[in-house]
Amino acid sequence: MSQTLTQLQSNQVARFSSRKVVQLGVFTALALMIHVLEAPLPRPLPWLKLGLSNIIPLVLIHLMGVGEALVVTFLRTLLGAFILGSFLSPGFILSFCGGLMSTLMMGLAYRSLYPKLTLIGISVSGALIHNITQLLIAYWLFFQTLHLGDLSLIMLLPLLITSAIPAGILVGYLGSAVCLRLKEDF
Amino acid sequence: MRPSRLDALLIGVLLLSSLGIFLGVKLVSAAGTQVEVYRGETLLHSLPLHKERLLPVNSQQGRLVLQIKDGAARITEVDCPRQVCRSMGPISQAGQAMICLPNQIIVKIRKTHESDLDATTE
Repeated sequence: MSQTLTQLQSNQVARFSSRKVVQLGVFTALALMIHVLEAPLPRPLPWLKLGLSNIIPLVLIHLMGVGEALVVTFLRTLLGAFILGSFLSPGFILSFCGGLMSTLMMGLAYRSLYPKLTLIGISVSGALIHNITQLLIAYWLFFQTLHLGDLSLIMLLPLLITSAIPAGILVGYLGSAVCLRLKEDF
Repeated sequence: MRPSRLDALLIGVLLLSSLGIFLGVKLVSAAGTQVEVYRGETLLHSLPLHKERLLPVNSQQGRLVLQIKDGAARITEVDCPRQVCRSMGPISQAGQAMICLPNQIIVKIRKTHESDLDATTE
């Protein structure tokens, strides 16, 4: 009993060590930089983008844990909105909810299926949930009052599902490359 | 890192399901007969899809031009910087819509029962 208690305490200490705080700060800064730099890149459609900043939560889930990834995603979307001037705008609500839900999904997939499902598959599942969350929220926020019918919502699904695949694969490859290089430091 | 079998399975299932949804929607949707133009919640025009027509639509924010041609509707001109609604057309199936957010104009395609009227406007 006393042993588990000390173990618990040492875990607690490790959880909030200054080393970890610094690491999370660096990862937040990195994610924020990717987030802000990606914003002005040209896109095929106004609401389709690669979501490269999801590399950071993916790497964090692998190297540290789901909680850390969620904290960094929360800070990244919030601070990103302050920098881009989109705080509380529709775009912010979409990226905030989409980011948190996709990080949660990647965490769930990692805990239950890794390493059978590699970081590539995990990132694809995250991208998918990101897109579906955004579709549902956009519908609920803006398009519900337009009475377009459910068909127009379903019609968008194939596009959102297929676009999640290349984005997810790219993020997965980049994320696993980053993990390989960072492994010695963790 | 090389993708595993489960990765390939996930991607395959996603591709197949999006193809399935796409085909299902194609199967369910029917060619529309009526074009409806809304500003916010108010119906401005209701026009038949089979009659060729160029229709300018004005709003407080700006204007756009709706073209009905060959059983499809598209927005050919709009005075906003991002031109999103132009990339949403042409539309011809019942349930499809083009939305111009800056002007709050919505163009919807409907399938209605045969009507004696050529066009109605309010």
